[in-house]
Amino acid sequence: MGVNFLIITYAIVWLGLMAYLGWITLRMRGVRADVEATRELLNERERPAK
Amino acid sequence: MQSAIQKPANGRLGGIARRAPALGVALGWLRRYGELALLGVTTLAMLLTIWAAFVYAPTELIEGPVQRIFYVHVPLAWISYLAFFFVLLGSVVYLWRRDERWDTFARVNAEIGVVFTTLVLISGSLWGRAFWGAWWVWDERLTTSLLMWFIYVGYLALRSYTGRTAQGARAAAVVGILGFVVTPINYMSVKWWRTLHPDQVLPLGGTPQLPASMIVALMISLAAFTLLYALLTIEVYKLERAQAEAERLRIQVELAGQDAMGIGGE
Repeated sequence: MGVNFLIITYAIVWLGLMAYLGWITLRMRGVRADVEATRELLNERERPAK
Repeated sequence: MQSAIQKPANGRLGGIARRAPALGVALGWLRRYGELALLGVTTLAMLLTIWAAFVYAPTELIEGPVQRIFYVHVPLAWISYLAFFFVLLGSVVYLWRRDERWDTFARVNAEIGVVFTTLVLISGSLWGRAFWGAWWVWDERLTTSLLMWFIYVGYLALRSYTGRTAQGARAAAVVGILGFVVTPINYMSVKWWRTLHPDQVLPLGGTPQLPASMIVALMISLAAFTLLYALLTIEVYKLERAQAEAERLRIQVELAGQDAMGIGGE
């Protein structure tokens, strides 16, 4: 009985931490793509003015 | 391609590199490979934690194998205390210096603290079910842990609602300072009240209440989780700064669009 709870706890903690790390990576990827796209859009908008 | 010594060419790091080239090389190396090295060391330390908890540490006589939950539960709790202390520190320094980086630091630590407190509550609940026969008891330690979790979830909700505004940052800093009151109460609750929760195993200024091998396993685990915390702080901080940059660029695009259409001009 105790062993089951022990294994479940370690699995939840490790999977939880992995999921959090994965979520950070996904958010970072999204933000980087967003920054690149916005930077390109900004360059396009500023080009005719020059 | 820049050499390691050329990398910290600007600002304070540039000054250090000029005065002490060897230190400059070290700082350049740290900037370039530090994060990767931290990831490697953290992974090794986490694997070592598993070995220490399951192989090195002896089985406790009364609780049996379920006591090994302690080797993740205590480090998770330590990190949540550390993160909430840094929310306090970041909030105080932000209100004092009005430097956005300290506000970001506080926000990052609140997020990490909430993640770790969630895992503390889950791991504690599973241990409680195995040892006490109950998922939850309204014990002072457990109740203040839940209260702490609600405070910082509220902090994050406030940040999400107010966005990246100076007003939102000020309000969050006040919550970050006042909210910390619960953290030392939570830590001391097992001393101040008769709780079902086990007593502190590493009391501040006192002697450890465990055999040496268990202390060693716990120390390995505490070190590994602290490394993980450092890695997460760096990553989430970079993410927050990138999000702020994206927002700044979006505003610039809007302004450029208005200029092109002649809106808002003289």
